[in-house]
Amino acid sequence: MTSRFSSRRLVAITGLAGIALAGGIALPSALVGAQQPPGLVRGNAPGEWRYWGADAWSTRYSPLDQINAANFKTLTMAWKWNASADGIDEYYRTTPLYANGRIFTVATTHRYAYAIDPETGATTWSWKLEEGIRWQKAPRQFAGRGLAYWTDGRGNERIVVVTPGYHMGILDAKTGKPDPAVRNGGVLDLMDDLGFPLVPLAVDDPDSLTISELKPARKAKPGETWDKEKGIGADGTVGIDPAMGQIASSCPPIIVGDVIVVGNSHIHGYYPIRLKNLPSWIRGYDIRTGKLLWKFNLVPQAGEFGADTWKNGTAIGTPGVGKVDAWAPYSADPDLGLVYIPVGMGLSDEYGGHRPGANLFANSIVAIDVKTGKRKWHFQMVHHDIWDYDTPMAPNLLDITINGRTRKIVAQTTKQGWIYTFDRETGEPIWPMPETPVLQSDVKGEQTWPTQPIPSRPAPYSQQGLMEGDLIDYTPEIKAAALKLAQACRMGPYFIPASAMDGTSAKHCSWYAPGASGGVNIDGGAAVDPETGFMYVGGQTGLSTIEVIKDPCSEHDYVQGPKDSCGLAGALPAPAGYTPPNRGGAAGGRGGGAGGGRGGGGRGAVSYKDAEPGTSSIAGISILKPKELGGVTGYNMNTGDKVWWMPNGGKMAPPTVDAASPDAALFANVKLPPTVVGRLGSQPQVITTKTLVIYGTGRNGGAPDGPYGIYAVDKKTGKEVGAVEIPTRTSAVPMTFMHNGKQYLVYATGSGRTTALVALTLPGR
Amino acid sequence: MAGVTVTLALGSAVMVRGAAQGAPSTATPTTTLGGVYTQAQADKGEELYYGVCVACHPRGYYTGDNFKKNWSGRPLSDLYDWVKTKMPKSEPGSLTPKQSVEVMAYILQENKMPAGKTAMPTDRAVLRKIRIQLSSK
Repeated sequence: MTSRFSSRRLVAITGLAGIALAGGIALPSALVGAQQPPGLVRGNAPGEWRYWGADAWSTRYSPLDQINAANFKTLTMAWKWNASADGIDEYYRTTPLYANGRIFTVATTHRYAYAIDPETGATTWSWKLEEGIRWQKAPRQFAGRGLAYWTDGRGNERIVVVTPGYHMGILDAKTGKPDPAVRNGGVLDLMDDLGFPLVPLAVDDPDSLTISELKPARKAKPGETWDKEKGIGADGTVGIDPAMGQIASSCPPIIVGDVIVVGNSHIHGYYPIRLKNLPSWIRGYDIRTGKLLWKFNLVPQAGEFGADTWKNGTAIGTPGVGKVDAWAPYSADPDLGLVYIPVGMGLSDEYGGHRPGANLFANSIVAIDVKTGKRKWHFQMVHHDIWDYDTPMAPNLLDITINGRTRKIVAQTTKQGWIYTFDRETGEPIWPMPETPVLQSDVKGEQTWPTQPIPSRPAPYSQQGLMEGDLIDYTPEIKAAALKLAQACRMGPYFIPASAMDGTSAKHCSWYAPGASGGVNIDGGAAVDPETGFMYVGGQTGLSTIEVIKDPCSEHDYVQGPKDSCGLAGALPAPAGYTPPNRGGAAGGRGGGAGGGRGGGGRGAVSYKDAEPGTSSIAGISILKPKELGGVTGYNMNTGDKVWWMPNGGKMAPPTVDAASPDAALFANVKLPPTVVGRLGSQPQVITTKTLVIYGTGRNGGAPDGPYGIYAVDKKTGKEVGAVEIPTRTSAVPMTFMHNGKQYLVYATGSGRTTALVALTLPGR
Repeated sequence: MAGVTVTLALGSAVMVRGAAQGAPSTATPTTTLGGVYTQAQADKGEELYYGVCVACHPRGYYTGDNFKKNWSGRPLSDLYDWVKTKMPKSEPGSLTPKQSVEVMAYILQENKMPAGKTAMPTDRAVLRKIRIQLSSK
């Protein structure tokens, strides 16, 4: 067989620069089971940033205070590390780590790992795994959120990175070399250990996998070889048969004691072709040996707790079964020995007719005993999700005092715009979350769950549904116009089911708030202050619509509309009598009818009286009343009270009426209240220190054309106390650390060929 | 500094392509192969794409067959209307006309339609006269 690679199906390259090679790293057996070194707080050394969320609790808190309100505005660039030197990326969504005098990060679509000198920004080592087809057809082909660090406190340190092709490298933190004491030479194939045979892989095109499941890899034919010129064929890589589904990961594992806890993710779920996909697992591995310690089924199998929440069964390959992936970072309490897993949804994002039932453990937070892999408790925040409400962020752990009683809590930010708060030992809700009747779907085959748990507190940070009271009402005429637009789609307080676009639903659209992007999503989330019990949420708000339709070339009865996959590689053949959608019109005409929500104004002079269903603005003014939602919200978790709010980027201004609109006269004598300058759909990226809340605007926040900034906010009042102009926006949660007496603030920025880490510090130190 | 280097490199590449195709015409091109946007628009559009669009449309989603199936042969004003009024799904209509054509410029470039010397306008009447044509290469 001609191989894409000369002799091995995996090619790992470790580069070293500027440091001496470390000595042998074989571990004496006496160290196995050794305690973590003393002096760690929540698993982190004070002043360092050893976990994606700073510490095992994902507080994103640093006790440092060299950078403070008085000097924040003097921060200057110490260095800029080019993250594109070895290749492009999507947007750079990585938060680096700092541990024991080194920065660690990942970069490029290959998720190469690097160590960086904190003073100079020079690369000291790199590790590059070339994965062939496993990378080419990876469902999450980007640098991802980051990596994980471990030490035994006796000089042995490891970096753990999960690649796009779903391998896990356990590397010596000093050299970047895989640990030879770990099986398979320190690089584990995470497609192994799942009980599936690994088969030779092949591709029929040189492209990436496309959402959803288009241009997939396949099982190689006997004797198939690699065509180098065309970039097709079998290249010698092996994996789970792609016909079963796609699996990968984009988040770092979390290490608790000596156990690596790792999960998986899938391809996007909004345009699925096939009715089945692989389910998901959480696994524990011994960091010293690579031995699989336990496996937890996120889709419970027959006989396991929760299997009866899938009415059609959960056997792998069952129509409707798949995904339920825990794709966000995790948190842990090392003292309790529990890891907290935020879990995503099942197939597909906006239609659940093929998976009747509540669908555990989808949309849940699951506490797992890190030694045994057994479930300690769980809470499902969305039953039978049809809103794409994956649990998107590492939960935050905190000790607080409620009515004089100390409580160990875990607070989960969500796409739903709510914080779900639990006793982290027992799973008991801190504040009531009554199961509340919700609207039911009128889409054929859909069986929505009759109730959803609604947190009684804290108050949400995002718009909830759309009710008459949410609409602008500056004059009776404006109120009537807004109500006319609102009533064109299905309204409700929250959890409004999608409408079918094929004329079988009462309306052609449903309002969607929070939408599929949340709430909180990949970019946002919260920081917590373990000293005060305050929580600072970076979220977004907005209003869109949700519709489903039959994609004639998908196995699903409905998918998010409009959609027609016919003719694309990997889609089903077009059915008999298929007629391609009419593409002769302007914006619409595809997929059989009206599309998503509309801002009203693309074609200019359209009055609200003639607007398409889903139009959400009048003369450029949103029909939603301005509210203190999205942006950064400060909560006192000792009481559950919302205490302050700050718009992303800090600026408010009256909106501009579109003078060309036929509806402009409605606003002629109206003094409009200020609204956020910039996108409501942008998530601030928040951390907190001893004295400050610090945030970047994220990749699309703040004033549209700049200047871009990083901001410091007073922790008690939410008042902006400092700002630094930066050339390009932050693209991931920043981090901070102390190195040789200097506090640094480091953030990722850019996309494509412009990705970088930027380090800021105070001048003259 | 890295950003400056990249911008220059892209600019050079575009100039080479332009030279190979001959001097740009001063007349408004009738297809997207005639250079209907500037490199600066595509660069800004790339930033917007990764800032906003990528949440639903990962890198590569709007290239190749998927783009061809939906947009080949249509007037550029159709793509403008789609981007301006229906995108992004989470906040439809929130892109300004300027931002909309910048995103379009990036998408055209990703589909191997070259940059030119004249910026893509936001005037639908002008865009309606330009047909989306993919390179046969």
